[in-house]
Amino acid sequence: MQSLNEGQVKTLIAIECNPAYDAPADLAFKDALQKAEFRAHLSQIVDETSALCEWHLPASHALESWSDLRAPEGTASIVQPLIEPLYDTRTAHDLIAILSGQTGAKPYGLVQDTWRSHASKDAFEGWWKKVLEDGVIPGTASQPVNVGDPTLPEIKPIKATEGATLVLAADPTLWDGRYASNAWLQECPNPFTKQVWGNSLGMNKADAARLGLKNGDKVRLTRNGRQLEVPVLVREGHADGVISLALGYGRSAAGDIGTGVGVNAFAFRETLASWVLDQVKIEKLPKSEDFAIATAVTRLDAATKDLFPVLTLAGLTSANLKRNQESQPSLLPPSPWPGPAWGMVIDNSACIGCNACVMACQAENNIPVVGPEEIEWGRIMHWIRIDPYEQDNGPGQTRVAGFEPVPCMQCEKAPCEPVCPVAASIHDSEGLNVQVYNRCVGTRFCEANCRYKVRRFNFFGYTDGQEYKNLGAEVLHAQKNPDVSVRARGVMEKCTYCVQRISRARREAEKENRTIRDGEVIPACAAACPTRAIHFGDLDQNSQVRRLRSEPQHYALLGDLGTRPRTTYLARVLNPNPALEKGEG
Amino acid sequence: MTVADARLDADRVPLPHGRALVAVSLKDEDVTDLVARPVLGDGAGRGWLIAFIAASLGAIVMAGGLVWLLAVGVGIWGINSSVVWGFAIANYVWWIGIGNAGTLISSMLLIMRQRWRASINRFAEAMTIFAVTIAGIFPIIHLGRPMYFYWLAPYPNTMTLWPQWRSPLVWDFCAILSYLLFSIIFWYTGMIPDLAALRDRARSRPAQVFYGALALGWRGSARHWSAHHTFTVTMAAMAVPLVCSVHSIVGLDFAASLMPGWQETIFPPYFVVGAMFSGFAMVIVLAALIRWGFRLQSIVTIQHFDIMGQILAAAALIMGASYATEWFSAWYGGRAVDRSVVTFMFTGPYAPLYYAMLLFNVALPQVFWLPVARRSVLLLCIVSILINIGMWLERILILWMTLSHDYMPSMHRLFYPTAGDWLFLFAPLAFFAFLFIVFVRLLPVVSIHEVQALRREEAAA
Amino acid sequence: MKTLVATFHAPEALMRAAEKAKKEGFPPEDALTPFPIEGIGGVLGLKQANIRRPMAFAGFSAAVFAYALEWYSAAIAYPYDSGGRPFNSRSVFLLFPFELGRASSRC
Repeated sequence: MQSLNEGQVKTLIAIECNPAYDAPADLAFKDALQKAEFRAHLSQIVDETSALCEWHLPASHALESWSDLRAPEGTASIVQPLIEPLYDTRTAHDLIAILSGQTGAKPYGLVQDTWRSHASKDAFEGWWKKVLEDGVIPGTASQPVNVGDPTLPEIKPIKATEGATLVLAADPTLWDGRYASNAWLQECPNPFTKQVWGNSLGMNKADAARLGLKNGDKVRLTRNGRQLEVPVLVREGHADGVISLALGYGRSAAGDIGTGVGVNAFAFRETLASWVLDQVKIEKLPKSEDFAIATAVTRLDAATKDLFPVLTLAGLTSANLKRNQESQPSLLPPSPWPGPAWGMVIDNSACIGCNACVMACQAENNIPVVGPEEIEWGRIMHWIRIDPYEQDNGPGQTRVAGFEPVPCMQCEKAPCEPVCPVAASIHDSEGLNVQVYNRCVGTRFCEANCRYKVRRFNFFGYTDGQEYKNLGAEVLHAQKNPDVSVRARGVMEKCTYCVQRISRARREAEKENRTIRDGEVIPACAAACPTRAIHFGDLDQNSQVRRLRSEPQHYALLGDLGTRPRTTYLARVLNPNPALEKGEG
Repeated sequence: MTVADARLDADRVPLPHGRALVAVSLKDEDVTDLVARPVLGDGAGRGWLIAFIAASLGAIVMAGGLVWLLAVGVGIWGINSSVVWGFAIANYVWWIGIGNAGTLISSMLLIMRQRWRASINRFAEAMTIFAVTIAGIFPIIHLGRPMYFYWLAPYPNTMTLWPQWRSPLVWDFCAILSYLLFSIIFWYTGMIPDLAALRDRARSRPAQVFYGALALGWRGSARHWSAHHTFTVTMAAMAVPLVCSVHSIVGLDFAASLMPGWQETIFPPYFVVGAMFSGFAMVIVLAALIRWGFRLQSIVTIQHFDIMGQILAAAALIMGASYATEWFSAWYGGRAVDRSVVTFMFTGPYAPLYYAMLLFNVALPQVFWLPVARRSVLLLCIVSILINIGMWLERILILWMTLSHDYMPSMHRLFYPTAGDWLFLFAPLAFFAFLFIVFVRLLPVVSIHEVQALRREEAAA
Repeated sequence: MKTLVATFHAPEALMRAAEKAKKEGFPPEDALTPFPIEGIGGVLGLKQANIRRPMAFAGFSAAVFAYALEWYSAAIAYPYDSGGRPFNSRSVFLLFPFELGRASSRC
């Protein structure tokens, strides 16, 4: 930085980073950058740094590039491209090869050269193909180091200081801001607050009450001469005097989608205080701002505890959860249909609320982005939503009890079906509640009657009528899944258990004259879930979902209403250490 | 005796059996004169013209709103993923409710031999037809794809598809259509003798042709009268179950669902009484306007308002009982979600509207137990307008309370009205006024032959 | 064959004249009045117009037709599973016939 500021830097090339936006504020990088004589920026998107450089070099996407990487424990792997580059782009390897005089060198050759020493000349091609197939390069893990017995660190007592302590964190969806122009990620709710299209200052209820703040009130943070105006969102998990803010927002050059969304916490960050900034002064402003909150966080109390049962391992066998009501009589006749009976079991103990299922569903099913204004009006579009549940954790404090993903329950006695006047919502023989887009006239009685509120309506022509439709370029036409239709204005849509995947598996099985095997159909949400919380399968076979349904912690959401949902849950089971419990009081 | 003197006569001279319904000193020709004058009289009168222009502007605004809605989508309203029904459905139920009173006045009161209906039934039925027409627009325009509304009707098609008969919306479609059909037939056939009277009195050729065509060659023959009477009485007998069933079906839109706060067996009768209540309130306002505008004080008398005030007071009590039943069954049933909805009604963000509704619908009309209150047309009009507002609030709150606060707390969402919502609330009022203003200029606003019969009855008594 | 047309100024006078003419053996063809007069039907020998029976017949047959349509479309022609409800949902299927029956009895 010193050389840059003194003007000694002749050529500055930024490779796949955005320091003009995310460098700590005390570096004043934006001004320093312009002191370099020649500036170029290699990146996928024209951003703040590109705007200040003379040349922007378009970079290939990671999925289009040859490269290599190293896992945290040292194991190396080769990055293979999935497609040829869509546009005339280059990778960082190309650029560095040019800069170091190796013009004409291709990344494929460069990567191979890096690893050529691992096999003899003749055996290299075979070794290379095996490494590509296996995915990891054997023998590259780091060796463990002997550091002796673990000891507790010495934590010096902190002197109480004036002001609050601000904790900065990477945003769960935008990370450090690099995904700000990705509308899916902007609309992906924050796992804890369910806020979309923006960030907010988190603080706990006691602090908010003390400062006289409620949700949406704007405050000005001051520290070391820097100021930041940000709206407040009261939430759990904050100690007294601690406030939090997500990085990655408030960008000034992130295209139509990301520019100006949220507040730029990087403008407040300092080199020596990157994650925890103390002595922050909070000043209430007479302004307020509306948030776009996708869905609400539910507090567990006597009325809501059945929505998200939390069991202990000790009490598991005596758990009296509301089962799937097969034993309860019904006025309605049974529906004995032949063929597979699809069901889904979601394990609340495994769900970490990461939203991977939400994004996978959006990608698979051509779900449109609706934008912050629509979310503020209360119109969400994600077919699967994750409901966070909070429980009391001491006076004035709450903590997260868990997450419950809610796709369509595909009820056997679906309340949405008999109320549709045109039979656009009906039941197929495999247990799916199907929504016939062509027949839907848009009365919305089905969503009114759905107890779980899992249906989504196209209030406007979201897919082909609104500003968020063109989230970039024609490459996004190619992104659409050709197996799934795109819904028009005025049509109701909802989770279909990825019926296109079921259909594909059925066709394959029919071609081979067999039944569909357990595990052959994996809906998008189940495929994406990192903790394998979502299980899907045929209840008529001896499948995993059928076995899971006889677990003691198995329950149906709102099971006593008689809808007989096919999507059921395994309750969250905790095994707390009794000593810890006593300690927490 | 002049008509002006007759007006004084009705208000002052008590008859042995009670108060006068029609000024006894009126002659038959005077009745016809009074009613025919605005229709056949020359010149429109400035008041009518101003009202017509104002209402036309409102109707144009409504047409513009429809174009906006159909071009852009139902997203212009404040509905969202939880509160999927808003002003449009509340308006629909409210307008049907208003329409019900007209049918009840023409039909139920005819069966019950309540002769006082004669002075008000014509414009009450007109009110019904216009109200049902406007009400029928809402279920079509609130659809996401309104151009396919006809799929709710059973017709042979290449898709071999039929409506889904278990849905209350299909019942609605049929009920509203049959209600509209009934109302038009009943209104028109009842009007034929009066149209003949207008035909006979018309001086200009176009007016003679117009009323002559509509009168279908009515001669006043005894055969005609006999058939007319039988037809009217039979239709009226069918109208009472019609009114009850139409608004019960509208109530079943909610009661046949499975949502807390909606799944209540009280809803069909509660809706019917509510409809009668709001309809009578609207009839009172219209009667007062017509009476004042066309100087019909001798035909539409204070006694009419007295009786209608009693009806309002009684209906208000029944409405109060219906609300109390809702609260009681939530408590007695013991389901947490039902109790939660009732608590939300009283303590949630919509609570001020709920209290206003209770005030307007239950508390205020109790003033009409006092005879002096019933005989003040101004007080009746004010309270009636407040009742109509209160009944609209009731409709919208039925929607909001349940949809904002149902089984899944994560989807609890409030409703915020938009400009589009307000437009579709007020513009149809202007359109209704427009239709009514055209009606009073073209057709006899009071049933001449029935008032004449009433007058003779009162004279004989 | 001559036709006599008489004009009266009061309904009572018309009734007396009609009854007298009937007693004399000249029952009136018709009575044209601006409002209905009680008893004139009896004097003229009018039967009550037979409206009720056709109306009832039309109404009931339309109701039967409507239920048959529902039953045919939902149980035979295109049965589908709607919320697990029976194909022939007897109770809820009664509302449409009720409405249609009433509507057609009027027409």
